[in-house]
Amino acid sequence: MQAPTKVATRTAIAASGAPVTILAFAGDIASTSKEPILEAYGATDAQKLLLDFSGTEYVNSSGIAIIIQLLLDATRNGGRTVGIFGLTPHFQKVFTMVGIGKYATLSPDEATALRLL
Amino acid sequence: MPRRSLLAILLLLSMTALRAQIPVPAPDTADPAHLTWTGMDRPLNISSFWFTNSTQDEPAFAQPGYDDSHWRPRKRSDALRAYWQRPSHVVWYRAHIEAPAGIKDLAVSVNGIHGPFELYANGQRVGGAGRIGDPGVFGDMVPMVYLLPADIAPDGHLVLALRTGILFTKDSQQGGISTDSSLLLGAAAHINDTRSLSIFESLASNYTNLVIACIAGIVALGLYLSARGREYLDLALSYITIAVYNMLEMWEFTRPIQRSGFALLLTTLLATAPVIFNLEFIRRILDRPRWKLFGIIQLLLLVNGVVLQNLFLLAPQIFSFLVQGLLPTAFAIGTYALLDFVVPVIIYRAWRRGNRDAGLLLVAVLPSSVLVLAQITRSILILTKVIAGGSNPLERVPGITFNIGWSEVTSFFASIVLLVFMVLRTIRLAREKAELSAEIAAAHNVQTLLLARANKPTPGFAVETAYRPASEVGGDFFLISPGEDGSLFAIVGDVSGKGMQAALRVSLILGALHRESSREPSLVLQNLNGALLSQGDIGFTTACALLVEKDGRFRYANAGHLNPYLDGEELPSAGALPLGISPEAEYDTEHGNLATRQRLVLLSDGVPEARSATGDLYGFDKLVTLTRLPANDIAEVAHAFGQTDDITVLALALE
Repeated sequence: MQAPTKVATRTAIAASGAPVTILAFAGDIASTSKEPILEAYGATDAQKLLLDFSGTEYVNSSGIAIIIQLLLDATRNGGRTVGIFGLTPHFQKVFTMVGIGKYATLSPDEATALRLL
Repeated sequence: MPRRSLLAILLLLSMTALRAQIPVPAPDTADPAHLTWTGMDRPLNISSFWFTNSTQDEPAFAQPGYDDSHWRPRKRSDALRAYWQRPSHVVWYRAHIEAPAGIKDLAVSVNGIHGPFELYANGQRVGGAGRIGDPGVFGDMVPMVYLLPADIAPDGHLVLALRTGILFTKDSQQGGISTDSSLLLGAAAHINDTRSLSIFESLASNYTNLVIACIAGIVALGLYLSARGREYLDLALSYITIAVYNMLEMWEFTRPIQRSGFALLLTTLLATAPVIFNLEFIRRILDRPRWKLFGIIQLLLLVNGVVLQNLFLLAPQIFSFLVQGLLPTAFAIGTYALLDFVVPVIIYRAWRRGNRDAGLLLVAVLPSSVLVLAQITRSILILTKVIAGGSNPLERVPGITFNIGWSEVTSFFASIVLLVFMVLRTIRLAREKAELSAEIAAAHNVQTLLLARANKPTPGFAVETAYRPASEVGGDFFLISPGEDGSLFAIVGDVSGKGMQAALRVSLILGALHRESSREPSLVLQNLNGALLSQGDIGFTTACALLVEKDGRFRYANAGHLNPYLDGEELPSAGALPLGISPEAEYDTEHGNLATRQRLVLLSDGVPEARSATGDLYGFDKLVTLTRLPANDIAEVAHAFGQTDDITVLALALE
């Protein structure tokens, strides 16, 4: 039932002119996604990060735990700025509920996310 | 049980020491007219004491008084073509033997006559096989024995006559007595002993195969019926076909029958079926896909066994060396090279990846695979003339006169290892299953106990609860605690993950909650966060805690959980991190008021995250109407939609 998560890394420029690394997820995010997600995260040292969930339909509680782990590391230890976009309305609500909004801005699309970053 | 099969082999091997009466060796040249036989204690080898006639076919040739002095004597080294003359379909043989007068209970044993024949003693027909004019090779595995009438030679003079049918084509001929034929005359008891030993020698591998296949087949069938593992059925079918094949061979070898085309087809199919079933067994043990490599090899085996090895039967009209000789040989070599190279490699890789069953499977498969690959390599080297042919060191086990070769030894070995494999695997699986169900039962007991304690009477409040774990043990928890001041404390939560690990964390949380002295929602969550963090890296837990005063005023705090619903309306709260992640997490207190006849509903994410068969989520939007239903109905709707996680619903109202 669960498709393996794929993470594609690309770069963009934020409205402020700063370079941005975008991690785009494809497939459901669950406990098996830990390795590919943290690997892609570890491979970038950009100060501005965007997480693209437009290729993701389902994130279970283990998946949310991985995202929270990533966000805590990036904001607390790395002092980086992180934005999230492309979430379905359902997971937009779930992400807000678990307090992710305190660590990352949630935007509906990439353009908004780049503007807010 | 494996020990018994081993004993059977050892018994057979020890029989090499046994020798029946060794026949008097036939001299190279002898006069068929004056053969005197005095050694009644030993059978006489009469393979080469014959006059031959291949030009005429007269009933009188069977009579003792016929004058055969002008016939040609057959030498021991004479093959059929040395004395047979075209276009005769019949060759007659006659031998004169002087035995002691009054001799009784004689028998003739005939082995390796390459065509139908009739045997006469002093003019009486005493035996034969097949019909003159038909093809057939008789007694090529086991000699046929014909008893002579008691008073056949009162004066000791015995004339044996043999009428044999010859089949020939433009450049080949078959039938009659040839260099590998063996005919013995002797006392019936001796001849029968010789035959018994010969049967034993020829059929030793069949007997052993049959015994092992029956034992292993019964074990595999028993395991299939008790453990219901489909892989055991494949193994049982493999052994059943091996047993049937060996019984058929034994029946066939001990009778003068001609093999029809259909029988040959059946034989090749029966010989191929066990390999196919064995592959299926290995495929299931290794959990490999059916229609990939295994399916291809099985299909190749079937095509090889049924079509290519029977091309001479199915398409005799396209006879040529290329089509009926080289093609089937090359196909068989290719198929078996693939089978015996690829399958051990797959098993080896599974073993390296930690498949515990693969190790023993490799031990079972490797010897016979190595043997087949060595034989294939040898055949190719001979075909390409790199090495010379001749006696094959890979075929015979040195020191064994029985018909047991290395291939039999390796297959006995494989069967025994597979027997051990089945027994060990069944024990291991049963133990694992017992351990797992004991663990789950223990965790289930703990949980039931804790949840029962959570369900205490609640004076002043009407409380409904619905709890549906997704598996035997769940990751949801709830607790209701009435206070002495008439207030009610409630908490609903969800730990990440499922099964044992989640259940243990639920037990930990409920234990911490029972020890908790505060009833202030934000403080309870903060303390629980600390308790979970002190346990190390154990994932995360969401929870919503609620305290309702006697008068209906309430306050709640939320740690990443679903907000409470008041008469279908979602109450607000700022999002907060789940428990067990950050020591700095703080949980804000929100306030509200529960009026008479209003309902407050707390629920777990098993409700909005119920998932239909098509993958749709139940979602948050419908909770507005759903949370107005009784707690049990809410849980039932989510379950019917497609439960993927534990479902907990807690509804409370003032009484």
